[in-house]
Amino acid sequence: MVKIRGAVAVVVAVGLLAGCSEQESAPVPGCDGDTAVLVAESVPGASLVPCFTEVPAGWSHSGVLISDAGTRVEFNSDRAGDDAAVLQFQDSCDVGEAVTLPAREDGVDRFERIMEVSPSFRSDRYLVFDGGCVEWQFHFSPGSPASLSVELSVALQLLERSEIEERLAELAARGSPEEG
Amino acid sequence: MWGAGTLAVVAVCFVVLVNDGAARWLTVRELDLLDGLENLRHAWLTDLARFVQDSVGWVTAVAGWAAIVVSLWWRRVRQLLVLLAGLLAVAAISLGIARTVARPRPFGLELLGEWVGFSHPSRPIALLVAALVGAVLTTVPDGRLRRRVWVGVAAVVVVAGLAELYLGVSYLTDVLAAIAIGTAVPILLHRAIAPERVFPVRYRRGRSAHVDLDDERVDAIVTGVDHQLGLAVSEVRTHGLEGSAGSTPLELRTADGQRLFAKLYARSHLRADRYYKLWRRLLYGRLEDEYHFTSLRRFVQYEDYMLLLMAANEIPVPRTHGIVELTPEREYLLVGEFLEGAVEIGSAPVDVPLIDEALGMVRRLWNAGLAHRDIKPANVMVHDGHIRLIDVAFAEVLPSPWRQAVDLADMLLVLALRSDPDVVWERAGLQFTADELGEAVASARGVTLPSQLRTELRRDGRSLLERFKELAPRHEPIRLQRWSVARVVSLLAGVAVAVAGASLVAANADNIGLVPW
Repeated sequence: MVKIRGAVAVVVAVGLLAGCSEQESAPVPGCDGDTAVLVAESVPGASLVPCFTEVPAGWSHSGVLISDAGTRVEFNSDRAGDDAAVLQFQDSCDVGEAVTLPAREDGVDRFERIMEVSPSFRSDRYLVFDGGCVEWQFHFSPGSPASLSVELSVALQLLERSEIEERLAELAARGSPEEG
Repeated sequence: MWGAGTLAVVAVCFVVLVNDGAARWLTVRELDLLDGLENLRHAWLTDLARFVQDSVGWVTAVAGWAAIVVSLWWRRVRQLLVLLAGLLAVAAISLGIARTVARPRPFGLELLGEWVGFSHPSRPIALLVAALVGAVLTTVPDGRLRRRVWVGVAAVVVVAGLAELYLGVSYLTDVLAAIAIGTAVPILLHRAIAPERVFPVRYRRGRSAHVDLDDERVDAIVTGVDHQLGLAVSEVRTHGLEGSAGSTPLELRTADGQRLFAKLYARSHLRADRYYKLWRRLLYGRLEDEYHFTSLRRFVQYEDYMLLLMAANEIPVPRTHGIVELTPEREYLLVGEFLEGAVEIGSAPVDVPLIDEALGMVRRLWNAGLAHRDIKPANVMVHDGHIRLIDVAFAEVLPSPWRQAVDLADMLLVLALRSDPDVVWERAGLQFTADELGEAVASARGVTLPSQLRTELRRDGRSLLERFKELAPRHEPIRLQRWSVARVVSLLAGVAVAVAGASLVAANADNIGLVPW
């Protein structure tokens, strides 16, 4: 019986281990859920917070690490390969000699550095704003179209930090018996 | 009960936090508490709290590695596996809860410390507690010392938890749930798989099979011997514990003053027998009749039967009184004659008549179709000037000629240790043919010599085996290694399990707190 219990314990432990890594400790940050709050906390000085309304078809996240050092999200693609795109949210970025792109939103400067187009698309893209920066690193498998990067870029939203703070304040008020 | 209570704390926290309304209500209350702590912040206190937080990873790693090293050094494999399973389980459970509850870090506070991932439960605290609890259960003997160490562990955990709260990186319930998980999981695993009563933490080499003679066990022995053998025992105590590496040897004294010798067997002996035979199979192949016992009852029955069989064949072994079942399939007592005044042959004068008697006993074993298989100084006693053979648990019926030759070789060496090898050889020639003696000497190598005999031969320093080889007629060395499909499969399976286990731990060393940075 002891032998059986030991074997069961080992099997259970191994089973529980599926995805034990910190790398997968969070889902892709959506724009409504608590993960967005955690992402905001990872760069406390940033005026904007990245989030996704939905991950485009063909893309899936392979790892999400949110910590006091920032947020890192890795994506796999069924066409561009594993770890084809990595998003990093930090308090600053070194854009180096990246080329400035036309701005799409007020207060967000866009830069891009394309290292290679063919056979593999490789580029770094930066969204720089007050107190923070989002960096995209694309590294596609050979033959994958560069346009795939646009799918992900479009899915990315930048939430105003004040929006998150207001939402939390509202929730806290509703959670309080005296006020709710 | 206690473990279930702590897990209930985790369950309550979990249920509350996955319910939006309850979670908000609780979070607001906990933020009030953290706000209060924020008002206490001072530069020196912040430095201290950060130092404590930085140290948590190191304490976790040191405790974990210390327990691993100690377990390996003292060959406590079961406790080691339970320790690692506990760490892995705590890491996995914490992560599972974190994903489900998805609680952000305290919002609105300045987070002064380092953090990774969701807030509930606090993974650093859970791993710290799991490593400390696991280390205590694996390395500190039960008793007063362990109780004192628990106090120290509690102090370390409280300080680490307060640092997390002060730095604002965790809520109070995050820390409490982490403590509950880190405590309950290792304790429950230890109690289920390596209970203290069966696998006590001790620091004595080679005596792991001994069991404690507590009041409960003494009562069971007295009652069992009375009911099952009809002997009224008035006193039970250990006897010659230091000379026994297997069972727990006991001396029983009956109400009428008679002394009895008893061997207490527990399930741990069954496991020891299994692993011993598996190890020998891996090293040498199947050396005939080395199938392990699958039942403790049969294990004890076999020894009792061998004592009766040998006595029936006039082999001088202690008389057996029978078996006492203390707990079915868990503990048995083999009660026999107490050899009053007997000494090991290594402590007795060995003259020619005694040599003849000992060699004659081997001849009778051969004639009866038996082999003792563990002839060493500790198992050859001199009682009233005559040889008595003890510890027949490894004996074999219908052994191969090689196995019988090994018995003869071992006896030649045992006798030579306390006399002159030339005399022993001369006397052996009166009872065995030159060919039989040549085969015996050719078989005496490596695994065929019991470890105590090897030790005594090294200590003696006279090259006794070499002298016998000079005296013996030339004989081809007898090959020990036996290769079979079963041995190859066992070897491959053993290596695969070891590699898989090591890989599992190595791949998760970071996640279970064994890598501090």
